[in-house]
Amino acid sequence: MNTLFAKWSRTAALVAGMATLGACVKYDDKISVGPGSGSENYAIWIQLGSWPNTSQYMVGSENLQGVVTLKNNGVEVTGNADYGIIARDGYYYYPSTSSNNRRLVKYSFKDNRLNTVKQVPFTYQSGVSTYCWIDENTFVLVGTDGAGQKVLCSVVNASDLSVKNSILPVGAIPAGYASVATRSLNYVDGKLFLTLAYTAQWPNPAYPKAVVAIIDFATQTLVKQVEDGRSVGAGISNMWMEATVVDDNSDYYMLSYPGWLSATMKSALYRIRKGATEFDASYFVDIEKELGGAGVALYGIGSGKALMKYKALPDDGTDAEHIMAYALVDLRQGKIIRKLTELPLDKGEMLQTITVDGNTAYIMVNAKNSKDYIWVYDIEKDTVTPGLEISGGYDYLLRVDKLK
Amino acid sequence: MFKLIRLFIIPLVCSFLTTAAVAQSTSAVSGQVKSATGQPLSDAAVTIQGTNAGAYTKNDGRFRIGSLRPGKYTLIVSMLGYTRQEQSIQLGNTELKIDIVLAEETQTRDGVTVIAKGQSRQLKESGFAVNAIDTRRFANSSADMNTILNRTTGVKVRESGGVGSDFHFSINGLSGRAVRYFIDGIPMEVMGSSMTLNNVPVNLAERVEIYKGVLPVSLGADALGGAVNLVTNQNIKNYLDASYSFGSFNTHRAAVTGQVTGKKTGIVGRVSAFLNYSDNDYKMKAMEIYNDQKGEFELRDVRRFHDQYRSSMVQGEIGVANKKWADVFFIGAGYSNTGREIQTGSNQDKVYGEARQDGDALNATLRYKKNNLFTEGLDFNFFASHTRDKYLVTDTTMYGYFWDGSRVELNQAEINKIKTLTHVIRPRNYARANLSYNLNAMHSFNLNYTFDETQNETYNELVTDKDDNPGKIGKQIVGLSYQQNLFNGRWTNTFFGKYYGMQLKQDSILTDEGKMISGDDSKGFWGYGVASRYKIMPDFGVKASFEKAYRLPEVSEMFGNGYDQIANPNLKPESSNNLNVGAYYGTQRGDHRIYAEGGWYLRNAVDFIYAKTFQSNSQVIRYENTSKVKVQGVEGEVQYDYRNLFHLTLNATYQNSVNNTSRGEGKDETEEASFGSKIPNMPWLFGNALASLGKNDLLGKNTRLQLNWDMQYVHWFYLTWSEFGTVASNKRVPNQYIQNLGLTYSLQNGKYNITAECRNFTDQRAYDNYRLQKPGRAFYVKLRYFIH
Repeated sequence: MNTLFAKWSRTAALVAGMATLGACVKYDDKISVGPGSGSENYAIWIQLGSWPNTSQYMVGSENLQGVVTLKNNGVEVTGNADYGIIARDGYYYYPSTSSNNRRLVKYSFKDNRLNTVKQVPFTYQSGVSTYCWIDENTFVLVGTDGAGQKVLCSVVNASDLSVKNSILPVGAIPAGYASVATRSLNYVDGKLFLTLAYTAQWPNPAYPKAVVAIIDFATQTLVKQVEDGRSVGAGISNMWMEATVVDDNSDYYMLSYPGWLSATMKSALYRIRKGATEFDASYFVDIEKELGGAGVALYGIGSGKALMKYKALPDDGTDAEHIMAYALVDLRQGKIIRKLTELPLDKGEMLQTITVDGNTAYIMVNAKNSKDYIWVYDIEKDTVTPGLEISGGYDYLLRVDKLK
Repeated sequence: MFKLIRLFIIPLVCSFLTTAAVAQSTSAVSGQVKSATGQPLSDAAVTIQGTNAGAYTKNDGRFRIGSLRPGKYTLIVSMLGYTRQEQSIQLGNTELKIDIVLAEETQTRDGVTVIAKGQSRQLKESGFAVNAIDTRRFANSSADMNTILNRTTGVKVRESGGVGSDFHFSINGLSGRAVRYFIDGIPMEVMGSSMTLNNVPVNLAERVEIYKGVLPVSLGADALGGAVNLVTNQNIKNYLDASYSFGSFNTHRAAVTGQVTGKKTGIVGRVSAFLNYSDNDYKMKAMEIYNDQKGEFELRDVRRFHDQYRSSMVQGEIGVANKKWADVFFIGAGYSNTGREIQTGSNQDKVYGEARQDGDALNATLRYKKNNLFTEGLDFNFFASHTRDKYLVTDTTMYGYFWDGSRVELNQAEINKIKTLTHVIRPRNYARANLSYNLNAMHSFNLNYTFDETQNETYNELVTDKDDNPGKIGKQIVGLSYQQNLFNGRWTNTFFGKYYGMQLKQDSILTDEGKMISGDDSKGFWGYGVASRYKIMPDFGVKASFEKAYRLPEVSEMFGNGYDQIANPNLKPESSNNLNVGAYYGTQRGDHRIYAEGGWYLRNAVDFIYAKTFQSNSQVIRYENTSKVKVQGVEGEVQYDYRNLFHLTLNATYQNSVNNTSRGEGKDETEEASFGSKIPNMPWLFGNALASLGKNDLLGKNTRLQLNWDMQYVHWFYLTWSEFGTVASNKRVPNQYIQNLGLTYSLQNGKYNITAECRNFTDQRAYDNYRLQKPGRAFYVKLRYFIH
């Protein structure tokens, strides 16, 4: 009856002169997508539009060669997910990093669809900054409470998304500082290596030390909290970018990036040897001295090497200029092997622009005045060649993930 | 340059040539045309029978016809909605002055409609692009002002929920701070921040004017996209309009407006008051709620549970009218109060169960008007006010809520990271002085000065007990316009220039280098424009208008707040080149009356101001000029009346808003992919149909029974960039047809009225914004008492 009435009145309305205006479409609150071949091995995240009309898109690619565009391709994911997300084995785990809708969602990405595999309420923490995998089916999410007084930990079963919550024991907030900020998390031989910063109200500088809390995972007790006064801003939130590496020897390398935490301290590279609970006193690399600018991200590529993203030009604070470059680092020797000068300068700081697949590292670069590519770095040969061209002209290239 | 000559010089030369011709005439007739209530009538046609001589009255009702030889004539005065009047006159060698009063066509309740329509029509036929809505037509409806205005061309109001919810008012594609709101030419915020278009009852205003892109100087404001001006009853007659409505979701609305004049003293008292209340507990359809036993989310219909809204306002004025020293002198005071529970965030996935906002405001006003000050034709108008507006946002619970009303403990506050009791206090001083001068029938000038100073104090009561670093913004806007009426009023041009001056002050501002310095800055900008109308025939005219318009930065946008918003002294005002071209036609054939208007518009807006995260530091934001938008559209409306039995309005608007930002942020040398693409999540085709069928004396003498129907149509629109993403994955909001029905029964010529309404009677799922459902089917009854 209701439907009949609606149809009748609508027809009357059309007769009244409003008839020329298209057909009614079924409305669905969920993402709906078209068919595909399911052949994606990689996913690329792109931001489209000009602020504030910006949207995040994902587009799949079988390999990172050729050309890809968002024109009639890819899927808009804003509102369902954002690039502050965990990718593993073709699945994405999204703890509402930016959307704050109090859910933990497991997605699969196939045929340019972001499909919900499982979702559960997730209210314990809304400021997840970092994660690490304990085993193939378990990962840990860490962040702070709203006031930045407690470090919150959620141990998640990746299959059923069951969650076990706890408060991690870290050192008290030093006098004169307002809150604690969690940055990066690694699982090393049964221990969680969690980098911290104790912050004040900006622009007052943070507690001027690079801090790593070492916590026994099984008992969740603080083994030791180590500090070094030569830099600040240990690690980085790996939901968005990486700055720590655990190499094949289980040695832990950590890049500190002061950024807004300090106007004077320098970016540096630290090491904690396997089994140790102290910074390696013989190891300290002043990145700014070596590269001429601060290191902002670090991605391990195996064999004790890493790719570092760094600031090659002065920063105007807008995060909109093309000032980022890449360098090859020998972590074990604490040396810069070379700057990847083949690459144009990149734009954007907190972006997941590198993914490693076997002997290849893919580096996604948003160029100022040339084509945007995902560059192919051959780890063995130390060569860089252009790979997939991202065609169209996008303001920010957010993230590249290996899916399978 | 040649364009300038064509635009300005030629009309000026024409006007002076005409003036010269007038100087050679031997006799003339001049005067003023008024309604029976004493209101000057503009655009009334005044002609001399048997000659080609004639003129249209100006805004003040005055006219002058020259170049006449002495002798006997018949003067004919006519205007739509008024009885045509013929009068014999004898012209000698001197100018004859004569005042004419036109009687309204009917004096019944429906006559009120006709009067107001006449005034609205005059405005529509000015050079400005303006929707003039006779709100008296809707006086028996329980709708608020937003609902009424949403049915007009070029306007889209997007509400986030039910009664009292947040809304975006868009005029020709520009919205937010680009649109300013006025009551009788005074900014609505002077009454307090609780005075918004979504709670002002329709009875409060007699007419609403929506200026599109181009504003007369008398509305002294930095309105980038346009302005809404509510015009209250300015007659000096006593009247009382009282109404009460109730209905679904425990919604109650009461409104009183009235005026009384002391017979002996001549002292006039006016009062307007309203009260709104609603639980807004309407059904939310297909909401996702977690089933613990099944371990999955399932869809359920649930009721909103934390969305109660109340608002009230009382505004009184007392003064005198028509005295030697003042045509109008009033002092007034007002108080308004609001309280609302906050149910959702930016989308319905964010559910709140305890957060709320409460506010109140006090104001004191002074109004003075004197026509023919010092010399005939020089009119002075002055208004001043002080307002103390404050509100409190409460976010102190540490629980998170779900749509079934259940809750869990959080490690942060409900909305913000930490508990907050945020006080916002905004004392405001406002003054407006307006001088208009009619040099003669062809040339008039208007000078307007506006002073508007607001201090902004914001603090979290749980951290501190005051704002140690309040910001202050002073705006001084000067406008000068020159209007010429050529060819006996057939061609009207209004040229204007505006100066926008702003002074920003804050004791301590945070620079992008993290330094604290004192903030004190003054800036000035020049705007200009023109509005022109040419009457090809008495009822058919074409018009065009243009303005280079500005929206000045707020103090917080320029200076931040000294802790988590940093200053940006290089911030430019938002600006836009606004252009309108249109035409209208109206005629009456026996019992049939038809009016049609249509137009094309262009908005080329740049430097939109938005907050952005600074230095990848999520703690700190800075306001920046970020983007450009170009909007082009066409709109049209047709109205038809058959006696006072049947009325029909049809209108439609098509607009194409595209991203006009060609380069990405920074110095990208590649063109941004979305450059030239349609802005997502913005309705681009919408229309309305309104019909009413009424009959007098059907159920007794002096009664009227009237059935009203209306439908709002919004064509589907993409939520995302339409050209990007696979076609099948592009989310879009489907076509929406929302229909409302109302039946009104009036007795004693409209003294007593009762209306029953059903809104959204087909119970369509209604969305103005994605994932923010609006109410479904709802019922209301309104009782209204009106004497005048």
